[in-house]
Amino acid sequence: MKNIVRLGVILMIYAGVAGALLGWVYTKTAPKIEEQARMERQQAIKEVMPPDAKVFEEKTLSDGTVVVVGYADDAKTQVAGYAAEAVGTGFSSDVRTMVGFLPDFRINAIKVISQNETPGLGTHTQDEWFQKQFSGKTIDELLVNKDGGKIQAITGATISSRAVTNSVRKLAEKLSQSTELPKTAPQTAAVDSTQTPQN
Amino acid sequence: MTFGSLIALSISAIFINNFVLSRFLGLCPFMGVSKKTETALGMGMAVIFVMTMSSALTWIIWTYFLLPGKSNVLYLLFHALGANVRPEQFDFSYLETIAFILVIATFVQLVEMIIQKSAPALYEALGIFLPLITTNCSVLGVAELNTMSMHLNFLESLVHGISAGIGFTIALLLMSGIRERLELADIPKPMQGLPIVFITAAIMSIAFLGFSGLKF
Amino acid sequence: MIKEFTKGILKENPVLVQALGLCPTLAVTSTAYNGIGMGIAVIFVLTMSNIIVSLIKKTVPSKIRIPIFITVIATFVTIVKLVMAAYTPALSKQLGIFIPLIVVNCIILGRAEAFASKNGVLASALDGLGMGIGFTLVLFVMGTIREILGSGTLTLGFPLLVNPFTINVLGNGYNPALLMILPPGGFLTLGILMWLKQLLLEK
Repeated sequence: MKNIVRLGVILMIYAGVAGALLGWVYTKTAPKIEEQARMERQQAIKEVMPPDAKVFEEKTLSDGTVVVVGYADDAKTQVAGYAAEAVGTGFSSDVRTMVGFLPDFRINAIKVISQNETPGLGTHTQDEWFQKQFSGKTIDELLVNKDGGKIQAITGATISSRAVTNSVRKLAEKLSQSTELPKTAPQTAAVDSTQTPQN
Repeated sequence: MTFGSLIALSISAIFINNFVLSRFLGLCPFMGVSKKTETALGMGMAVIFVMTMSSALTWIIWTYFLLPGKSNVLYLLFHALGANVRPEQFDFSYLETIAFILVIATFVQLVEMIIQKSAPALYEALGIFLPLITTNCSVLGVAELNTMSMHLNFLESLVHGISAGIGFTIALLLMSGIRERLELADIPKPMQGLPIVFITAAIMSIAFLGFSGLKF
Repeated sequence: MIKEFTKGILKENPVLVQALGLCPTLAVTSTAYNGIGMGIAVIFVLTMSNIIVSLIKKTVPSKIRIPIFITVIATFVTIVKLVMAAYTPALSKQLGIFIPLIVVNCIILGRAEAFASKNGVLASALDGLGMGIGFTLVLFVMGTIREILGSGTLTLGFPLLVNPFTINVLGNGYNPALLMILPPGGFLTLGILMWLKQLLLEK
């Protein structure tokens, strides 16, 4: 019995030293890890936002979705676009995509920020050609071609392609119906239509 | 979460993402104890048991001790003692590796002691495999997958643990069956031993790739 | 002394000869750079844990030596995990759960138990370094073969020092043999490497 206690104490001492050392390393690296994640996120937002967005403002919707609203002017009257993260379940991992929207909720651009899909198949969701085809698509077009939409799925990786496409569409539906987001006043659209030649 | 999604999780862990042939976890025992079907079965049973139990244990440790939040036991303890603490101060998720491996090692040691005393017959069958299981990376692997990357709930973790163990056992049994026959085959000398086993594993792995076409 | 260092590189190579540390060898070698990254992480953990185990070997009661060795190893693994997440985030994502799984890499506990707990500090450090380099070489060769055949490219770099860059080795006309970067390619490549080793050693 005495021996077990002695062994227990020795083990506790080692575990304590290890814990203290790790705690110290953690406090040294944690800010850097957070900064990396923040920088990566900001970089992704910048890449997918429409180019005329100058001022960014973060909004949290009542269901917890964080949406970045981009304004074209400093006074924040003219919405230039939105960016938010979509998460879909792929073949072997969660696929996270940063999605940039135009004011009318067509897609401006997307960027797959993290995935752990099959190398050589699902990882192609990060290829430029796959991500580029989302630009300009409306909600109804956001389905892979096998499901009747306009997104060309990656050969051999339908599940991963579908994960990205469907998560983007769901996000687009949610944001376009949301009443909590600042939206461009309808007259902008009216002005646009007067400029079309058919008038 | 429905019953159907649990079945899908289970089939996916056994066949599509087979721990040995697709995720590359638990290769050391896969190569080491697959010479005879009998020992392969013993090892497989021991692994299924340890994986299931350690999936449950590590899930509890992760959710109630390591993750920050209002259900963290240490937070509740300090809070009850009247200390001025916030739940997000109790983020110990970075200690996950060391906590999990110690829990698994302790658990395996305990099981070994208990069955040695209470069930000598079982000990004779599984006993020699238990010490090997601590360093079987599929056990720690399933714990990491449950918590860090797949974010499963308790029931899902249990199902994933059992299924991963079954998948491991199937791969091990298949390989041992093939190796028993390879003993009799005339293999070129430099290929004998591990090289031919790896090439066999490659062919098995190609066969298992076919399961990725399964749809639910 | 020199022998303690060189034996791990070829004669007692942990992967090819002792068949240890197989999981990361197969799992992370879909590119050469991932192989290098995993190798560096293992070199660090193996050398440091060998040094510490050799230093504390007299104070450790033999009954609980395995849990204590595991604690030492897990500590260094966690340090590697945190440092990688902070300074090489992309690599850290690529290697995924195989970073924490270095804890159960049989090479490390094996060297602690078989060598460091019986030898002096310098010899243990050299042993760890040699074994680690032997491990890294196999991962690098595996990654190179699999990436060139499976993607037609070669990604090189050195964590923290040289940012990874990709060379298009086989050109755009090459239709990649996808199988090589899928799981079967891992088994196949290692099987062939082991076969070649035996072929050369027999003669």
